[in-house]
Amino acid sequence: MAERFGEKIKTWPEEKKKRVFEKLTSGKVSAFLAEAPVNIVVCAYKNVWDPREDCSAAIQNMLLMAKALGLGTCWVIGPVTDVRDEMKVKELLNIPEEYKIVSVVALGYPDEDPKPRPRKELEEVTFYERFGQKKEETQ
Amino acid sequence: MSEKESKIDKEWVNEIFYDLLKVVYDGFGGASRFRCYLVGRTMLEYLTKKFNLNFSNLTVPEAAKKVLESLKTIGIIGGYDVALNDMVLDLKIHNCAHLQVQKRVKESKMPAFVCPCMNLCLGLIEKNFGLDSEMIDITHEGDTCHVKAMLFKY
Repeated sequence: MAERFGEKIKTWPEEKKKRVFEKLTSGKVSAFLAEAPVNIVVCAYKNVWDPREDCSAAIQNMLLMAKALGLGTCWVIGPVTDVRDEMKVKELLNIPEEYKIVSVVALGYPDEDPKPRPRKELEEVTFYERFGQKKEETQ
Repeated sequence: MSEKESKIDKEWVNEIFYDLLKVVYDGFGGASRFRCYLVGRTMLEYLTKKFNLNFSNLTVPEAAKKVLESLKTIGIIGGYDVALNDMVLDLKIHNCAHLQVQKRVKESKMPAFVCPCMNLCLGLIEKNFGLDSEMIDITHEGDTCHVKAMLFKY
């Protein structure tokens, strides 16, 4: 869990660690996929230069179009991040070896309207000329 | 070519192993450990045949010890300690042939994310005991790697 959550886990109370671990190992993290009306399993042909980049761009377009149509989506990697899980999904869906599963997108009518995630300030993540250099340092 | 001449240089193997690990880490980042659970796993079949291993009626630690003993016999590791505490499989691998790789990984500031010896044990545990697993930690001190994995059932 430390590798998943980083240093912040050290500050968690034991009860929270236990609860998170139980959830992570319960098989319920991505269980909502079973109830989604549609799951799109996005597969990439492996023998190209940029399979994940291609699929990620395509997925983003799917999410934007779904939103424009009043649908809700969730971009999920949990069922395929672990190579052992990906093998099981590939077998289940009869996906050929020369393809890899990049992600699953759950699609349906949303029953909630979540707030946007917090964003870092643009100045915090933008550098000039070299990594770490602020604009004012270039002048 | 004589048997002696045909032996593969360990430095060569480990350098290639390290280079490949770096490629994986550069490509997958923090997800690398999830992509590498199968590294070494096919050796289980080889070892089972070579040593006619039988894992029936064994506990998890006993089965892990049997695998590690076969790795010791073929010279991959120098020794081992196995413990199972509250479903955490705790391996101490002494003088592993790939220890140098873990040292290079540490120097490169990559997290250690693959242990073929643990992968073999986890593959066996999945197959024979129906337990899933997740690596917790790989550290090393001196000539010993300390590898821990959580076992669980969905």
